[in-house]
Amino acid sequence: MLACPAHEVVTVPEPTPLPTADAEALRGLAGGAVHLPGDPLYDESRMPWNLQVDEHPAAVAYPADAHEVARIVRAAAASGLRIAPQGTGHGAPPLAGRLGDAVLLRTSAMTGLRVDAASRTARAEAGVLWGDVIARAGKVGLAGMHMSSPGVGVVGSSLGGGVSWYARQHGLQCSAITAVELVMADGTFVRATEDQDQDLLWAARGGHGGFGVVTALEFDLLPIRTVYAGMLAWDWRHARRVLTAWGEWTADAPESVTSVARIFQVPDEEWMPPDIRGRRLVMLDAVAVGDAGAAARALAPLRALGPETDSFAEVPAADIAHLQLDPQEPTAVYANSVLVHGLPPDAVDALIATAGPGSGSQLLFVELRQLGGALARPAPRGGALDHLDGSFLVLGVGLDVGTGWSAVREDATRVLDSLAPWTSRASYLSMAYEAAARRGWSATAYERLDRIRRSADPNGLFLAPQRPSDD
Amino acid sequence: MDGQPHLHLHVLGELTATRDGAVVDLGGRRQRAVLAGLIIQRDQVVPADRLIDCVWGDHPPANATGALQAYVSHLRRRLEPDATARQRDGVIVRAGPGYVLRVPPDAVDAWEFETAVESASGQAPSDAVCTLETTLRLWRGPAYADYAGEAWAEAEIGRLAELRALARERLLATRLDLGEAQLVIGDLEALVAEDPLREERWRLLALALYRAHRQAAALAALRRAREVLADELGVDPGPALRSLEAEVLAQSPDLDAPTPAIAVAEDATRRVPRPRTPDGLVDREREMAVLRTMLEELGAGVSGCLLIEGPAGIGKTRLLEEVRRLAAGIGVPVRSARSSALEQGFDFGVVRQLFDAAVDDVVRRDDRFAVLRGLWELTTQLAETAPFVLCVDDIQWGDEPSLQFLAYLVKRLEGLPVLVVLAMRTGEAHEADDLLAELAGNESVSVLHPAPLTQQGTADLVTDRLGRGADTFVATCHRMTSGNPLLLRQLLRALADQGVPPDAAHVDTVRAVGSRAITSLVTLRLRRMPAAVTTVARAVAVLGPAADLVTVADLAQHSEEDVAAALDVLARGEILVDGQPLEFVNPLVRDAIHADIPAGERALLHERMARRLKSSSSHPGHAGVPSP
Repeated sequence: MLACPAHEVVTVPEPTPLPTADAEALRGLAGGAVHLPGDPLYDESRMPWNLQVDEHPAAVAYPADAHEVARIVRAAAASGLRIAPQGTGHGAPPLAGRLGDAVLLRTSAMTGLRVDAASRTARAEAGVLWGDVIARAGKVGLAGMHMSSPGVGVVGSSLGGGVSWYARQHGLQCSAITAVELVMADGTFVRATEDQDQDLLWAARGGHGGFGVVTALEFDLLPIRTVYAGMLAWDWRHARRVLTAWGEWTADAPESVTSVARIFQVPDEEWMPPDIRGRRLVMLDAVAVGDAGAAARALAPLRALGPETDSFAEVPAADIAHLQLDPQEPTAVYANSVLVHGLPPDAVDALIATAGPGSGSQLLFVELRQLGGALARPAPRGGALDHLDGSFLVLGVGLDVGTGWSAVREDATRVLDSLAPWTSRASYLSMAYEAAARRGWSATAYERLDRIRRSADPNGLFLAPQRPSDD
Repeated sequence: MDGQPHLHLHVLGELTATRDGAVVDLGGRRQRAVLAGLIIQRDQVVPADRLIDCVWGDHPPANATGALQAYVSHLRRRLEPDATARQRDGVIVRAGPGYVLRVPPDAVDAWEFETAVESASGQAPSDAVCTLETTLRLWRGPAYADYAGEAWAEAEIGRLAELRALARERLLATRLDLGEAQLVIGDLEALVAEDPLREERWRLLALALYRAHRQAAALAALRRAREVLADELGVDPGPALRSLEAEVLAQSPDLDAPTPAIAVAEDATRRVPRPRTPDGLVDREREMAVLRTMLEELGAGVSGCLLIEGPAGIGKTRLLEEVRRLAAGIGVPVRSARSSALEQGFDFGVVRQLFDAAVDDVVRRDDRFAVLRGLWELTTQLAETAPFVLCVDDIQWGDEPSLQFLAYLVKRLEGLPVLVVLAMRTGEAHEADDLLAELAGNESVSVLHPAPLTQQGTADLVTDRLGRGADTFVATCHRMTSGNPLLLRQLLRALADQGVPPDAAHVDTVRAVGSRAITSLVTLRLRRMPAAVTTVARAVAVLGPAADLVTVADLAQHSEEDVAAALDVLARGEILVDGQPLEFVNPLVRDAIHADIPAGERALLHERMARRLKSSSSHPGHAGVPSP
């Protein structure tokens, strides 16, 4: 191609053609914790938490610190391999089908965690799980904006947004990030803060990664010692009455309360509490911060709906880690979600028709997560994702119960589609694996993210975790 | 228990139960409260009303008695799954207005704990240390942790916490009396920080500092105690602290550590390491039985030779330690040596370690046969006084003349009350293979091959280090290490250092850390420790067998106090053996640390060591500067 210096041509740099991929060069890195196809540990180390994803990457590596990450990044780039960072693999589905020429860089060995009680901050390396933060911060009277399962990784969930039990009062976890440490495509280290490399900090706040390997995050903690929290449960034949009342209640519930409604077909499995195994329930979980008396008053209308189980009490903040009974063992699950505006009686009817008694749905649960409050307003320190456009996140989750994944997917799609009249244009990509990437951000944020990604990683070394735009 | 299943109830932490080692599902919090209420009252009948109070407090449901009966029947089914419904009354027994628990005293960890703490006070100091260290390991968290703050549990929780506090103080006080002042300072600081109002802790700390030749620090600690007590309680220190202060100022001889009652006789110059407690020794029942039998026979004047063979890290050194511990228990003296690859070229190095200066004249004889004969005569003379044990570790690196002597001795053991215990690493070629083969092939030599740990043994070690582990967590630990105890301990330490809980969510962490090579696992752990600790570990690695506190301090250029603290961290982290002489838990660990020293630092350390050796005459009995 001829050079045309006379023209100012703005073009997207072409990715350099990749040399033949060969992962042998990675052997011996990370203290020997690199597994290639055929190695004894290859099979178990390539499996993410979500066992539905069954990929065969060129290699799996477990570096223990940023230096080891840098060596792997350089070796992979030199060998023509791409890099897919992964923590626990809860969010693995979007990587399906894309790992053949990639090194799966698992961050599980990077377990350093520091909690600073005085400044109310934490620094978590990329292998730290929310359960670790909850336990450590809880000891000094602090709480993190953790996900519903304590087994989820801090870094992955934070980069994708992070809707916690404190979200309606304090917004997305990603907006609490104050610094991000990365190993870049050329193997150099960057620590992005408000003062330097602000673009990368902005991108880390909800941009899902793909700019480098995030090795650690720093973020703010909340001075919350105890919360008023619990769970209410009814047989699912009460679903209409309970969900309608809850929908009305959410309309003017205080921001200090975050609640979740679920239609739950409890599996008859060991990991479920014995008293609800095998039952079909409608459940309300809620967590309220602040004065317990005020919280009790706010939640009284829900508790007055006559549940058969009512576990509400003032408890240490760390106790809510297991409120939602998520499985800790690796599990094969299908999940998809939509954001909806409002939950009028028609929407409840649609939901019950597709997911409730008589619907034939085999889904493990359909969950309606109450949004709004601080989640609806752009966060003052917001980044790529600074709010969620919708008053509920509706999430369908299914296990393979012997009828195949396509049946599970159909069940979930039927539920989510039935809410079309109320569905937002936006998607929460951390839980909407099939949504087009563009719907995850505002148009301007999407453009800016794209620019930052291309400039940080012009050769596309890193696999961005969300599905490439098919829009 | 004659085939009866072993039921264990654990309340030192959250309430859990195991039946023959398998976890029993005790059901929800309320159901477990019934069991907790019964355990607290020990063998007393607990009225149903009181149990209802435990379960529901002030808000019992309408049919509380019925609900309580349901809980009891569920618990019985879980605790005695093999019995038929009618027979399920062996553990929770209906009695008059309530129920009573019928289990042996060692079935409940809190009871066991209490008995052990009581018995320790009547034991000899080294046994008491053993007992207390072992029993303190029963604690997995605050007692009845799930019922903290419940009125009915409060008194018992408080009582057990007090008992534990007392046990920890007694343990450190006893170690202090055994001359371990330097080593207990860190622990005492931690105890004081936990509860600065307990005066006994300040007293022990000040005493330890004094005995570690840190008078100023001792006085400063007493001043801090005075301030804390004045600020928090508005009182002056009690008589014990006041008199200690006066004695420190007067440098009273009463403050010195008591001299050991047992005469160390001819070995007085060598520090005799305190036998380590039998912590976390799992899956070695058969080996221990063999050791016990051979030591008993030795007591009856019967000679023996035992060769412990196995790959690196399988636990040979640990079994030698057990030999020393068992021998100390029956008052049989032990002479120990450890060969090292660094000293292989040093003739009679092992023999010198075994017999000290006593053999200097003998080994100087020109004729090899005369030397062997002389050494044998010396052995015979020693055995005439009392039976004794010779322990040699890592004989695959033994110097040839010493191995010749061992082979010579083993052939002539009959009638001599001497037990020779040798440990040999397999799986590598060695220089003196023919001699080793001769030793191993001698038909009077018994051979032990310690096997890899079982999954249950792995589970026990996980419990010991991290708390009760989820099945998948334990299984992954077992698979990652192939049951090799050294690898497993290093893996568990690495996980413990980072506070990784042993739950299902952290299985991939085990995979991540456990798939590293042992060498990189050790260096990774060391890199995460404070810089001073790393420097000290490197100095010990460079010095090899010549390492002692003073030399290490000199080489690392830190104060002896800092080095003592760092050595303590390294011993606790299972990088060094706990005690004297300074040794790595395994030569592999030493090699890994040595190889990881940056070239510049290594050159510096070697130069400092060479200078040091030049200025002072080198240690007799050691080969001097090991090559890098």
